[in-house]
Amino acid sequence: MNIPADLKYTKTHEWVKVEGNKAKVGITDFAQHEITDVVHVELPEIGRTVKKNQPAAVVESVKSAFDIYTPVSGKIAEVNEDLSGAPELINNSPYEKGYLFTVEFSDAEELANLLSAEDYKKTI
Amino acid sequence: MEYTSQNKKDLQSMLESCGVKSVEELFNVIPQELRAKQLDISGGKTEQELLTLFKNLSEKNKTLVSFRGAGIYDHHIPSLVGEVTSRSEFWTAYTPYQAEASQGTLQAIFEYQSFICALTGLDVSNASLYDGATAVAEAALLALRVSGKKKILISNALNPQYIQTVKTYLENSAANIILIDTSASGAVESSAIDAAIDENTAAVIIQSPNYLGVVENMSALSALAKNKNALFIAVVNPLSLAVFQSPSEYGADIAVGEGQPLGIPQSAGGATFGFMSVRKGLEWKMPGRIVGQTVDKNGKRGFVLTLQSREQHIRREKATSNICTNASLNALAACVYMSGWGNENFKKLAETNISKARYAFNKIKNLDGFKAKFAGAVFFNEFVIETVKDVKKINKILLKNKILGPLDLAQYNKNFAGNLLFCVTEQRTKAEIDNLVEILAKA
Repeated sequence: MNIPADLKYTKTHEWVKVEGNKAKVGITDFAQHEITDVVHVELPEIGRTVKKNQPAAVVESVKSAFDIYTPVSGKIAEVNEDLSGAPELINNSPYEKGYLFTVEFSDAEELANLLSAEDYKKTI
Repeated sequence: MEYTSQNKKDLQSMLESCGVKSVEELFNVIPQELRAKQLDISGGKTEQELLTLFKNLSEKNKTLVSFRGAGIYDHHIPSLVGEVTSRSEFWTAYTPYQAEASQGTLQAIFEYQSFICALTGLDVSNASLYDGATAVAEAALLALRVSGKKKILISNALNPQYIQTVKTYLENSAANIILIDTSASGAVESSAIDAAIDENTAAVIIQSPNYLGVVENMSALSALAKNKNALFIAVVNPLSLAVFQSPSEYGADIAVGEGQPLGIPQSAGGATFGFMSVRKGLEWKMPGRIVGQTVDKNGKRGFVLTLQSREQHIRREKATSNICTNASLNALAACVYMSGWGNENFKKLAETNISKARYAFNKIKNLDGFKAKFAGAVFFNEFVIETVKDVKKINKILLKNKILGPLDLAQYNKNFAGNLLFCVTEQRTKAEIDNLVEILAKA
């Protein structure tokens, strides 16, 4: 199971990569493996304000559909358009090409509550 | 699970779990005056008694020669259809969608979807919906969902029951339905759409042939919708598509309709099925399920249910529809019906409908006291005739002659008093049509 040490995680299997005032969000290798083949992704609108732990996107696999919760509050800065044509990127490259969106976060303190790779490993 | 009857002890323990002493106490919340005092149910009957009862009932049925359509049509259903649909594998299984166990059912649905796509020319068909009316309402919801806009233009010549269903669906939403009247030609004019459409219009819904039997200028109406970025929803008779332009040819985004003409019996209003197909890009917002084709780990062709996760049994609160019912057995019947005819004969069948209807039309409109309502209109198997004679009397006389006469359009719209909607399908023989004409002449 690939759990990069330089990322932050949530109990609901999202990963977060902090780049300046933005947080890049995706789902973990464990999550993509559990939900199996992803067939569709609904991404949030750019500019939308989102709140920590609220649904921001939907990932649909052949098994079911899952809400993806934003790990931090803020404004959606960017979404991964490539996913609309190739949702399987989430399975093939969960931490790179399969990221979902980036949030321009409004409260840096929220980041402190996220799990480290080590702690996330313990939850799965 | 086996059936297990309860004894008094079981009953008592259930009541105790509910925290009440008696059944009476359990129902205390229902006021006495609202309860049935006595049920009007006779006692048990033997098989013999029951057969006699139903035989007597069925003898009250009258077999009529039908000249009425208005949404449900009298078409011949080849024996092949019943032969296949009554196979126990199809007949008995309830939601048999486990890919491991149900390749036959899934393939049948896949073939059905392929037929609907071939008929409408659109890219994606779902596995069928509840009926034609709900299919139209679902198409309206789909348009609202995709566009984020609030206004829907609907032709007033859409089947009135469909209009009612759309209104019911949208009653408690922010959507605004605007009905567009037809002109004296029986069709929706471009100018009427042009006057009502704007940037806030989610969709334009037009039926063709419409409820008055008239074929609409779908290309012109669709182009107007496109101009304002509204979706164009075509409500079509599937059999007519064998000879008329397909929805994709005139740029429809969604094609829906009643599947009953495709091998489904007319039975007291149901059960039938609704079909829906959409252009690529809308499939993710479409209601209902889709069966897809894939390969298994050995590379062999197989069928699976896709888009299932948007259905109410998995994510109820986010389902695209609250009737995801796929009328599977009837969709299968349609699939067998279309494959049985094949391309050429399906087209011939449609042409026979047109030529027989045209024969009847020409005969009736030339009778004294009768004339064509929409002279020059193109129609499929239904047409409107205006008469100065007493419409109720005409239908009474026809009924005496074992004929189900045309629909009295005064019921549909008061302005249509004295107008009759006739339907002539391939079922009607020349002798039957001539007989009808003879009776009308004397009526």
